[in-house]
Amino acid sequence: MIKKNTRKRRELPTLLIIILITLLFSRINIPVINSSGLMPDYFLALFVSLIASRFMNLNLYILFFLGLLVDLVAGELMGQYALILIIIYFINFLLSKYFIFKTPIMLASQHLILATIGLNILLISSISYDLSIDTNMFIMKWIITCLVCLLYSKLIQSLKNKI
Amino acid sequence: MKPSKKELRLFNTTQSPIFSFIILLLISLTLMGFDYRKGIHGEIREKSSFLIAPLIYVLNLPKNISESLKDLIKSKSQLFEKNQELENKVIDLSIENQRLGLIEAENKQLRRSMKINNSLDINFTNAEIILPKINNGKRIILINKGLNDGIKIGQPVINNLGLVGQIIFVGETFSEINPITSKKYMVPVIFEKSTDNIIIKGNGNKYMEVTMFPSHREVKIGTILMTSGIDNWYPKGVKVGRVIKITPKANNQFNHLLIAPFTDPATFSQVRIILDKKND
Repeated sequence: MIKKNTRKRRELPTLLIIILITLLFSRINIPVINSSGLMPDYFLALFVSLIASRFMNLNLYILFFLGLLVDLVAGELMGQYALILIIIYFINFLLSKYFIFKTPIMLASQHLILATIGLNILLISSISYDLSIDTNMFIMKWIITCLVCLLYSKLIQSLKNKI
Repeated sequence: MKPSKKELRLFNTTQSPIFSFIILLLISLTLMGFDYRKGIHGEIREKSSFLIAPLIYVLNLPKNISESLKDLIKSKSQLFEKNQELENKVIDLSIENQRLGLIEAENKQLRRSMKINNSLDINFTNAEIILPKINNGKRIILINKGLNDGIKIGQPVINNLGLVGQIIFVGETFSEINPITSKKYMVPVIFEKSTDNIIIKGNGNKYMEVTMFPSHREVKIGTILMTSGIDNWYPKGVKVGRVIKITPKANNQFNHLLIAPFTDPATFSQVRIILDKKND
């Protein structure tokens, strides 16, 4: 007998809730982090975790659409996050084609690579791009974004196991 | 059965997404270019602002609840004290207003005799700052006035301390202000006690800056900068900031000026939006 796959359907509300929480986070003023311009890119961290963990098997088209939505609610240019998400997806595809990520360290490095690429594309494609970028600030932002990304990854793993 | 060479894949068994990737890449690059030139992002956001409004309401809910609770708890004596204090302030201000009225009349007469346009008369509306103040890492100021109150993109925003920023997005019931410290903000200014016209920009952090100020021009720490009004956008004479650091550039031809703005959105809750200037 063929069993109907209801896993994807059960994962959809979880995904929507995570996205809503991320939207709230991206608009909340956390005193120490935000006042010094170190606010992590929550959306980037979330999508890196989703793509790396293959949550709901999100494909390129869905990611493109979600990227456009992020652009609409939190971006500064239409297509910027869409571009970042599809590039992250494609790089993750290439990485998983040639490497197997099994151990926690390997998984963490996979997340770091994807988050770094995403942040760099975001920086380069930003309207307010400046050649004289504050490197220390960017590195701090990168570290915080990677930490948030790993937290998201843990959260998604635990949610996946529960579902 | 052995897989053909075309079908041979290593660890990933899903179909190659190269074709879809290239198509979507081109679409997103085109969208970005189109948006940069035409600014469709703002238009779409304006039309879909009703989608974000509930989120803003939810974010403001804890603050609103705590404020209404505070109002309830405030004792009568405290309110009486505050009222007394405000009444005293009103008396002080009305005395000051009388003096300013005289000066204004004198100023107008002088301007008329010297045939100088009056650029200080402005039409404005008051607004309250609401949360959130951050949108995905970018510092913005959200206010409770929008299209329904005659707010338009580009209008300058000031308060009693000085220049606050410029409207960059208008929804039906709320608007977003780009603060003067934003990297995307520039304003033409003059020094308080000289005629040097310069353009200063936000440094994306807490300050504003002038990256190339000729070193032969005189400038001191503490010099006050105010809007010059030559752009016909900002009224002349609005205080912007104070020079706090002067760093010589490597070739000694220019100085880098760091300017501390007079206004900090974290320290006030009311702003004034300049709707239009009435020229005589």
